[in-house]
Amino acid sequence: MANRNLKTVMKAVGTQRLVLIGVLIVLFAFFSIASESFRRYTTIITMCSYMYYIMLMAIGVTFPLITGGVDLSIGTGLICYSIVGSFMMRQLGLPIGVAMAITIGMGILIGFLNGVVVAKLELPPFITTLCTMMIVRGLGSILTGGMSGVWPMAGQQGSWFRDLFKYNINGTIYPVGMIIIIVLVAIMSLVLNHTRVGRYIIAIGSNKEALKLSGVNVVRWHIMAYVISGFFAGLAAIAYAGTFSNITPGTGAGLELDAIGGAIIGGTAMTGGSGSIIGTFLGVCLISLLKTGLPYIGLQANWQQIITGTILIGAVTIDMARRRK
Amino acid sequence: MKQALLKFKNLRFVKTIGFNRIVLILIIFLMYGLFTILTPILHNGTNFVNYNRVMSALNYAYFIGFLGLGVTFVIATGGIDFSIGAVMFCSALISGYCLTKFNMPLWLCLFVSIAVGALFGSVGGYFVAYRHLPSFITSMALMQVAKGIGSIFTKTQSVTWPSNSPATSWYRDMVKWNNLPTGFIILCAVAAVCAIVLYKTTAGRYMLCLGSNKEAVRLSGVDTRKWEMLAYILSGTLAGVAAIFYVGAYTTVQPGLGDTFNNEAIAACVMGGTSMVGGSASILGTVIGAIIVALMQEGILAMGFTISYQYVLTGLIVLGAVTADIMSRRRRN
Amino acid sequence: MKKALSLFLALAMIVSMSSVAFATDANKTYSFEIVSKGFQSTYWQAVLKGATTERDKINADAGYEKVKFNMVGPDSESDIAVQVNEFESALNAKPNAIGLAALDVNALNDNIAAAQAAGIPIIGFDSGVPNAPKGAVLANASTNNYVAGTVVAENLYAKIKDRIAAATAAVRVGEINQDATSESITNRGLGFIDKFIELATADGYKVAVIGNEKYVNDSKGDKAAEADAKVIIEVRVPAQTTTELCATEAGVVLNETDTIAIFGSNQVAAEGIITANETLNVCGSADTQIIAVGFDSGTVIKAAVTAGTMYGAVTQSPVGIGEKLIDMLLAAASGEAVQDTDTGCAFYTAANIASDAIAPNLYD
Repeated sequence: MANRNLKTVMKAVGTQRLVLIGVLIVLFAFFSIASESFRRYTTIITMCSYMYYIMLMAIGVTFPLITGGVDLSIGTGLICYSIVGSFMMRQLGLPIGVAMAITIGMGILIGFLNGVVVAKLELPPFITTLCTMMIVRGLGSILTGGMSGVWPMAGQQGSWFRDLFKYNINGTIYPVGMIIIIVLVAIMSLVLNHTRVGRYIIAIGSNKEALKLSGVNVVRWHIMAYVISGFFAGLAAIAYAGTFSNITPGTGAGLELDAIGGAIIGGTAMTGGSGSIIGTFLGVCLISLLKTGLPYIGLQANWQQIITGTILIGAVTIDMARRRK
Repeated sequence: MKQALLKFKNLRFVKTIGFNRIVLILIIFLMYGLFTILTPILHNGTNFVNYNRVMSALNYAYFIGFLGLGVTFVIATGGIDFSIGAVMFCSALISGYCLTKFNMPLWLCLFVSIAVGALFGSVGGYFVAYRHLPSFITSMALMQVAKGIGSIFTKTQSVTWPSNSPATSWYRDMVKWNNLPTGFIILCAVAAVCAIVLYKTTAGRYMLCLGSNKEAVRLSGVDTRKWEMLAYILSGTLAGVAAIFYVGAYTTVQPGLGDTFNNEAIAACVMGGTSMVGGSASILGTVIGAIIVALMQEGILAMGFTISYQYVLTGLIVLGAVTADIMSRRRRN
Repeated sequence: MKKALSLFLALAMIVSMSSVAFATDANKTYSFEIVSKGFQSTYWQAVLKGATTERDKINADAGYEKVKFNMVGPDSESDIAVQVNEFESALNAKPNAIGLAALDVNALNDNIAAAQAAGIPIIGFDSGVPNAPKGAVLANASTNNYVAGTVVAENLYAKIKDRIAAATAAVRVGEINQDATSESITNRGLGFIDKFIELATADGYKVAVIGNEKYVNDSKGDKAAEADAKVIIEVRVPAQTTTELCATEAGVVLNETDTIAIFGSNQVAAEGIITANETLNVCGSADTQIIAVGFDSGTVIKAAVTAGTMYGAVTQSPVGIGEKLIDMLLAAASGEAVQDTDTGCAFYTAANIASDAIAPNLYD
């Protein structure tokens, strides 16, 4: 009886994700035992804070990955969008609601452009988004005249947006942002597996030709995958602004690696055709756990890069081996 | 006019070099002319026409050129190598550290630089060719590893190569000697070797085949894995060479850098006519592409614009080049 | 087609050459090129403001456009190659003088020599041009970074010495430096450590320095082993100079139970501390909280100091640096003698942040 229950749970969650959950628990235990400072509540809050923007990027980028493509522009993109949003508020005096809308809007716009070039002109996704990444990197700087961005801080007009991620009750800080993340993960997971949009996107990744022959407007749904990625990059921009005080123009190249890495560790194949939002969530948790925990056991930040890179290769190797069976 | 153009295209020397390449060379002259006109207007009445200007643009073109040459091989096989920038810095850091802290002789350190690059290339190549990992994610992971190793080796400090006495800094003569662009000569020589490898050897031919039709090659039963791995080894080795030319021009390397140079090397490659889908590559095009990238940066800075404009322009131009390439391929089919 | 191209090129050359001829004027206009370290922090915007104000003042006094300048900088302080290119461009613009805040003097060696050969005077600013070839850089308008570091140490020590005395176990003082390579950061970091050791050992405490090798090895003074020390100075340097990594490193130190103070040696590091504190909530000015001190200003740091979350910071005088730079460039270009100017630094807290001495130097 217990065996059958276990099997249904395994089937529902997926073996890979169970393995990930197991690894997460083991790692967490390891860090907690190895370092006394790690064991505090504040460590979890910190980890959550730094995880929000990566998680949002990752949820979004899972969609292009499932179509067999990729979106490299999300890293420099989120910096650009948040700087423009900051500019709207500080220089033009617009209220934060409008600025947020513009930030997300820019993300959608760039996502749309990416989608059109990839889906309609049929350029390879990674060179396309590589170019968009370069363009967006310079764009933010040019639009705002090279000024850094700062979103409203505690006490200023509009600082309520920070409460979306971290809520302070009587001195203890609660990572309410996680609630938003979990809700989004649930929604996007439903979208991916149970709506037309999601099913078509998966189909584009696994068998585009068949989909085209069946008369579906493949181009439209293909573009949608990149629009979703851009939309989430816009959300990530707001999360980034909420976590960090100062946003420097021209940076951001490399942030997308954590997001893409997280999605791949979570089980989304680079070849497309399959993927899981929950897997992405777990993958990003793993990367964030490493990033937060490694400094506590005395490893310098550069070891962290090596370990992240090695784990990524390991994860993909295992994934490939599994698929070949 | 069309007749004349057709006749021009059919000329023997145009056919060997390639019509596209000639267009690229013309573009270089056009850019130079454009910058010459615009710079005085946009920036305080300053001059662009200048030997120093050309030399400084070339300094930037050398290491981008070597990086581009290396990645041309990888792109020819249908893959991509994102680690070249980080590998270049890692090689420069490790060999520089050997030079300054371990006091190893200069010529040995140059070899170390190339060896480190080759090592990274082998690792990447192994995973892509023998384990069938996607090149994109492998090279990105390798980039992280390279950044970390370089930083750890030098204990997060930057490394400055010597630049004062002729005894210790003859490596700089490879870049510029008596104000002559020796680096350019070496770049062309290495490019020539690369061209021979790519077009005239079995290895090169298989690399191109892998790019154009991987399935056919696999079905033919030939073991192409070692040729695919070789492409990545070449990419890493040339990144190690690029490191030497980077320090020859700029002498100081800091850990943790290299991302922009990836993009520019790939841009040079693509502008030069190498197809991103694999199967068709141009060594000469890559060299010309590197010069265009370097010239563009020089020109944008000369005209008084900030470096951000260069990012935007490079992105737009590469997008344009790839679109043009794909369109023309589709028309041909 | 070929003929048209060569005609085109010839025309281009004529146009560019003739434009040079228009330079000679009755009222001489001095044109300066300024190569900064970039616009990564609003600090440089303040320098630009100072320079702009001074230029406008000079031009208003003279009655014509006596001074004009062009200020450039790479996107980030690690873009050495870009700054070299920008310096070359500046050189080629044949200005009357060049202002330079060098990211790396070695990389610029050849270009500086070329400027010297061309007779173009160079004035260093901010961190200046340390170890420049002889005679190339006439003077520097900069902050003495080592002294700035000692100023922080003095003020911090005064605040926490009672806590150290009352502590039964070892206490930790964190130092976050954005890199271990640039002259300004390393000098500030070392200045802080050296002064702190000096003050603590004078009071009879043993001090240990752990963490990043560069700072551990290069710091002077009587250093003890970690196990014996009453005060442990932990120096952390992120792998890359990004906001995220600085915040992570700061977070690790802030999360340790024995930390009583932390120092961020530039705007990015100080902002990293403030960011890390937003989730940990351990910094403040009371005796049970961690005393955080920073460097420079900017919206975030100013707000933190005013609220008391950050006990204080040292401000340089970026506006002053910009103003002095223009004055010195003009003097150098006119052939007058110029001297090194220490543009000074000052420690500010919530108490004196609005004072006349401090406020003009702070920027957003």
